[in-house]
Amino acid sequence: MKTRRSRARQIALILVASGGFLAPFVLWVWGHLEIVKTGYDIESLNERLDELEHENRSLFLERARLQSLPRIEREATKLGLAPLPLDRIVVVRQRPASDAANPAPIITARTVAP
Amino acid sequence: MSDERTPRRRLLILLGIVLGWAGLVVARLVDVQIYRADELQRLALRQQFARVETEPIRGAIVDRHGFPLAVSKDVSSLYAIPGLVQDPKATAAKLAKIVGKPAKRLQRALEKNDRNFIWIARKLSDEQTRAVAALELPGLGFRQEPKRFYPGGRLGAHLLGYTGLDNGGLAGIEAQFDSAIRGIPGDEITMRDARGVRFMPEPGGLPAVPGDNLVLTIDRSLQHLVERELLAVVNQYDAKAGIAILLDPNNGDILALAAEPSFDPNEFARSSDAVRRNSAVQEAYEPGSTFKAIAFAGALENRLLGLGEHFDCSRGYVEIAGIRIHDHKRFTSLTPEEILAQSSNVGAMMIGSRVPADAYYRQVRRFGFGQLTGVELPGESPGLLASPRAWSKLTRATLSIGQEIGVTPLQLALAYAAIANGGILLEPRIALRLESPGGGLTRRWEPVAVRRALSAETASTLVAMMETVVREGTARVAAIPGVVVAGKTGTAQKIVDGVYSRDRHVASFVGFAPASRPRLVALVVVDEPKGPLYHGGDVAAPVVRRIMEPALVRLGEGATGRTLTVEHRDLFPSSDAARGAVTEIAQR
Repeated sequence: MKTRRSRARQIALILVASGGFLAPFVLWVWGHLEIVKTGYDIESLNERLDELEHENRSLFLERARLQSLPRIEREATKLGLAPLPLDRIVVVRQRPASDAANPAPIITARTVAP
Repeated sequence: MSDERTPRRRLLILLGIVLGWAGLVVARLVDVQIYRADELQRLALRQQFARVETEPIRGAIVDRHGFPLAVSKDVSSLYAIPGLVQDPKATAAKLAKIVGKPAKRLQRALEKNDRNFIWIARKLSDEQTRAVAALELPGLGFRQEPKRFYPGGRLGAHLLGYTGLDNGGLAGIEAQFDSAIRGIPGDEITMRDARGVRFMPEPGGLPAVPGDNLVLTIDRSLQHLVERELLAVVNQYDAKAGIAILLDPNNGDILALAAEPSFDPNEFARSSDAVRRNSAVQEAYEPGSTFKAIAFAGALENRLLGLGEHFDCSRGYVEIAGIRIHDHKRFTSLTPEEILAQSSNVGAMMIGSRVPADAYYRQVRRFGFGQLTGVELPGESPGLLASPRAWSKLTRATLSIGQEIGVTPLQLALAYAAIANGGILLEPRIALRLESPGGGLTRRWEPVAVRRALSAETASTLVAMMETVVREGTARVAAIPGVVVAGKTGTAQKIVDGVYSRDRHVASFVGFAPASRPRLVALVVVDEPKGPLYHGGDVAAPVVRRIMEPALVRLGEGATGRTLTVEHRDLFPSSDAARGAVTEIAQR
């Protein structure tokens, strides 16, 4: 009975000692794996960021193409629109808070009902 | 005896083998860890770390209101690793249809097995990229490269220029401001796993620095207007070429600059070098009668001309140094104002001949002729102006009608801007500011006054004379109802085979408005208009009116149209004031 108890104590001691010995190693491996996993995550997010920036630039370019005046004029002509008489144009200028003396135009021409 | 020895011998043999193996391991370790350590470490690093060079994004070029004129975007370039291409002939045939290159040439390239990397096609369109990717051919891959796009197509082509395959500016503003808008390449260092997948960014790399954005003085609406009207007149008269410039005479801002024939900078290689030249700043021409105002300035500044004088132009010609030069028609006695209004060559030569050569030369130089204007565009020509030592007895007279001198259209527009603004010659400004990608100000260009070219009094006299040119002279078609326009026409004979041609002309008009407080200077030059109408007053002056009238409305200076200024908080159309104005005009 006494022998069995002492053997159990010995096994527990060995387990504790092994655990104490292995714990730093396990922690190191775990930490390293976490770093590697985070690295993959960062790269994946970087790729996503690149994709979004690329998409943003594509949309910016598309908007600029759609705003192209020769294109707008062509499309307007196709729709049967004609140039507006100059006396029917209203130029609306927005006076910026910081530069009241030199307002920048916000709308260059706006059609009005005939 | 032998039975006892056998186990020991076996043990010794085993020990020997173990020791030998251990010795080999140690030797190998010494070899790997000590002798070849550096080399192997290098190989390992090369395998585990990837250094990727990153191209910077080129800064955008925008007009004065922020509309993009040139922007960059990453696109795919197609490469091949010939050793991995399984069927070069079939691959080339499939690719040829998509990338638009001859199949035979592609096949020859794909069969070069000694090469590790070859470009198949650079900077593909999105459609081409998708089509190639869908083929899933072995040995092919894509690499991202930035490409320049000009969303307005031909809009401002001669100003903007274009970039090459390496993303560097080759012409125009793209070349002039290349170092500022190009950005700085970077390199990233990352670890990669056994499959080559990057998984760990490493410190030590330098990120690419995007280029600054450039804000131009150009107004894209005015640029479009100028280009449209210039193209129309060039087509109408089947002219060889045309140039138009719109300037702000108060600060030297180039609001629009156009040349015909033009090109699309998105496909610049399809046009010739001659078409791509910005003739508004790179080529000089004889200005003809538009130079008469400069001759008058010389005479007025040197107090050699009285406004009440009369000049006898009734003979219809003048003889100088034995050479007879004819007027375009026979006049009677003309005052200086009438000489300019009717563009009498005889009268102008009489006035110009009064000015001593040195004084004449100094005055012409004060207007900036014969020297660079300082415009920030590449390849500017200083024009042609001989020193007085090289002048003949005829030069002062011919100079007064715009011959024996070569000017660039920009020089002439600036000289008229000096007359319009009261006498100050300005440096032309094409760039307003450089902004970092975050919006911070990197550099700002202020207006630069070069010098006083003429006194305010002389400028005022010339303005009054040039108002007469438009009101009752050769440029009546340039008149805008409700706005006083001033200007001067020019019809220069071209020199062909060393003599002045009778049937090849350069028709031009340069004017400004409103004459009392000018906001715009417009110059239109039409090279070799064909047909019975070829005078500047018939060909170029109407174009200036068609440009100036809507441009003035846009600037709030037109006699027609309405301008309304709203406060920052008032957002159209919720603003009551704006709605009121629209309603008012709608009811008229």
